[in-house]
Amino acid sequence: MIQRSAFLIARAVAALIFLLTWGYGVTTYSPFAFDMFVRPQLFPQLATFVAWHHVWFWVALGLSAATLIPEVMGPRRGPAFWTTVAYLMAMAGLGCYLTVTPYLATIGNGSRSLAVVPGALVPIVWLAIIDHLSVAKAWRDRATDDATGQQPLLTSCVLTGVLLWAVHLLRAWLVVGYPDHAAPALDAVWTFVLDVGALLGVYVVFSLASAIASATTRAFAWEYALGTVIIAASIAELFRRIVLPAFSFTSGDAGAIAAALGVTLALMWSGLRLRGTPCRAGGGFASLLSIADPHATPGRVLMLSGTSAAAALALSFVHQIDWAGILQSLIVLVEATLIFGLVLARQRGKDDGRWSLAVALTPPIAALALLLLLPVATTRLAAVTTDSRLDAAAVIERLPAIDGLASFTADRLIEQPRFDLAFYRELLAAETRQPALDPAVPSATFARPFVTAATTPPHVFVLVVDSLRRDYLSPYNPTVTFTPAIDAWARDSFVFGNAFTPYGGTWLAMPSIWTGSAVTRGWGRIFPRINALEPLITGAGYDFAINDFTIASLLTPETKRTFLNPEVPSVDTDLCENFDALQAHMSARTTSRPVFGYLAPMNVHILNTRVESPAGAGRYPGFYPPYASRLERLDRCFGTFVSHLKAQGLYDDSLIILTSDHGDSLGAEGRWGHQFFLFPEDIRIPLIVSLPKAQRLTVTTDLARVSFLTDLTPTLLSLLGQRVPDLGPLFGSPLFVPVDREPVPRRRDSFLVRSSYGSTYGLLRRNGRSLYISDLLNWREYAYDLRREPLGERQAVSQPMRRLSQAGITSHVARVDDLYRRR
Amino acid sequence: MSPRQAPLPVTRIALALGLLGLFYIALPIRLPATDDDRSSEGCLSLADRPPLTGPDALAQLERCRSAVPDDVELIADLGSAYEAVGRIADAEAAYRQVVALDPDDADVRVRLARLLISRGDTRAAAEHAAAALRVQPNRQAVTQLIHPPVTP
Repeated sequence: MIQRSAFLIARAVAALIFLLTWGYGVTTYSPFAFDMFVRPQLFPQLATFVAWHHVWFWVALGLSAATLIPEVMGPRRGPAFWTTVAYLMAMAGLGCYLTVTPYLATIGNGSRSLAVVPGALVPIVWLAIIDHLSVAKAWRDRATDDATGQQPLLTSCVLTGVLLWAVHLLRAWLVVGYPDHAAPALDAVWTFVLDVGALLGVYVVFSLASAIASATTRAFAWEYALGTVIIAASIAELFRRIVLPAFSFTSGDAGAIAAALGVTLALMWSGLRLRGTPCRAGGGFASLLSIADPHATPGRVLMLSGTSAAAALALSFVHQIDWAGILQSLIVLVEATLIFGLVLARQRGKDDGRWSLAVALTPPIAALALLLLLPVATTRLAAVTTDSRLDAAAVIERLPAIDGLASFTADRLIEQPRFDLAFYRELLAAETRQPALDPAVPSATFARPFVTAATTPPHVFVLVVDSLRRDYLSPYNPTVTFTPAIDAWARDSFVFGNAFTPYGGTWLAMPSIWTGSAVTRGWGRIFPRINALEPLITGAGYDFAINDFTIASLLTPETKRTFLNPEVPSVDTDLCENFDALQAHMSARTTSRPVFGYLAPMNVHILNTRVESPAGAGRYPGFYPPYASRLERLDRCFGTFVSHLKAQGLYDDSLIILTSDHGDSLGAEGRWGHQFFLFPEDIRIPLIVSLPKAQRLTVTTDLARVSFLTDLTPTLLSLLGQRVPDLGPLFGSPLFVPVDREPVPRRRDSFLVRSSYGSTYGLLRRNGRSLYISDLLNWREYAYDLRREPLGERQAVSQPMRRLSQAGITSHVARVDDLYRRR
Repeated sequence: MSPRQAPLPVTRIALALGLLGLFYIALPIRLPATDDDRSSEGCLSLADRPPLTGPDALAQLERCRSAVPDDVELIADLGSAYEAVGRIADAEAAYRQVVALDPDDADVRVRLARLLISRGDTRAAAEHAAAALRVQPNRQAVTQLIHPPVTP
């Protein structure tokens, strides 16, 4: 037992190291993921892993070699022996090469990373081949075994579905907390039908595999092999359709990467199962899928409850940082597979060899009929009772919080009404065409040489607080009590009440500030030629201090800058430390040049607020305490900085902008973080500007006009005396104009908002009061009336609204494509 | 059908494939749609276009007002159209409705203030101008409503 456990732990650690290497290769190969995660070193642990990769490789090799001792030391010199020797020699050679030339640390986004993607999977496949060869004889001995019987298979599927349904409902009630405005009885019916229906789908697929195996003389081996193929195909399809699109992989790449991973993981699992399972009666599926085969009832119950408890624990750990629900889906699917395997193993020996047409057909057809009828019946029920909670779409939206498996099944099997497939396909095709990750420089930009102004430019401090929500700031929400300093400062500043980020997520939002325009994926390649803020900073002779991990590395090397707190990793950047460093820089300098400070701290980013201690939760009623408490500290530092400027006599000559690159979802309707979201809490941002005293009465603005991050650079250019041309709807415009002019009207314009990271698009209309969202990842759509503070009100999507909004999105996407000449 | 020994594998394979085919044909399921109010068709997009002009503008705007009763831009356009044909009371009512729906629409407040001044209600005009100034601070066109420039 101990030997077996040690074997599994060694293999698991080795596989983890190889898979992490693979994951790094994939992340680096994707221009999007590289720019987003790797280049800004969003996860410092990943950088450490890469730096020490050669050491980790030796650890993996050592552990895997330890598991191969029986093959090397055994009496036989068969294929397993020679394959093992070849593995050890090849890997040792590779280890020596990596030690001399650490490869992983040298790859960037490009073809070198492509070698890592399949390469990292080779050791896992090799080990799997050794495992299979080691038990080849046992396979041959099983040649005459029967396939899995009809009754055990059906019983296992139904029982697994019912078990998962019960466990998930219990989890929702007892652990997670049942969602508000739910309809528990209806939800229970829906989840039951979806869970059991999904498992009956599995029943049909496994019945087919079992029938094919029965047609051969080696039913056990064939069933086992076909089961492995089903696992490989399932993993590949899961990654191709769900995981990889969330990281902007195009269809061809996604297919190849997913297929390789599916085959690798399935082979690895198959090999480990073969090594661990004494081949016994009951068919190949049970041998392949069951992680253990305890005979006693307590052991069975322990394994089942342990699997569910582990899944619950894993879900509670990842739900705040999950990306597109991917981890939660994977956890639920692994849980379902393991429970299915355990239940199937218990059915061994219960096959009486009989077969019934009714048993073959009735359960799947009944499940299909229920699946077809349920939405219709639910919609009727909602219409009769006029209770919106009973609406089928409302039930489906509640599913993720109640039952992950049912939600996963519903996402695959149920479409929203009047879903315009052509629209979604066209947009996705436009995204796939974006290997135009090599965009061209637009013919018109705000990037132009700075014309020296007659007057001395003011100090400028641009504070882009990552994930800062407007409704957590007193100037926007009178119930907020924890931002008094920002509140006091805002009273003699301009508070823009209708500001949005054009991009959900930092990666596109940040360059949109610097360019003053719509940007496209691949913007980094042309950034020096569309960057409009940098010429202002250099042209106006600013003493430039920055702390930012999206833009700073792409600035022109000649631009002199002081990088504040360089030792602090991206995710830990702190406004308080930034202010201290900035003040120290300003005090120590000998020049009288004005200062341009650009800070993008991560104080309230989900990666930080999720680990904040819940202490003092009662101090922030109605708000998410970890977020509010960090914001309260940030506010104090902001107040101290403003006081410092005033004490130094600098405040009246300073222009301060406080904004954020996007908002954040803090648990509303089960959503966390910003991901690929464009919900009101994600795209509505604070925008507060205080002007130098000399300019406060000489300009006007429209504080209620819909405004965007793209307006910031045109505003700075304008306030510093530059002529700012009207470049059209894809560009920003100055927020301030001379008092005798009319602020640029926008009430009749529509604006595209899109996710930086996923295929989600939105359209803002009617001065930002109307928001329509198309989520191409989940094939969902939403509409909001944003008049109601703080976050607007969800609306039903009417057909006229859908048509108008989808036409607007298509038109805007085409305009951006035209701007960067990608089509 | 009573239980019996399994038929030939080919039959079972055909059955399973048939079931999968049935699933493929029946899925995905589309949720039933509720009937949309189509009366707003064509009116929603008015807010995204330049204001209507021409002889039919007023009639079209009035028709759309009942279809999308809380469309601020549409009602503001209607106010302008009323003003253009001299229906001042209707224009004032339309502007007041806009201000009720969107108190931060400074442009309409200015239009309303001008209209109020023209009929001598300077106090009410000053209130709207002050509200407009909160949204558009320092804007000369608004400050001049409160403090008109002295003509030499």
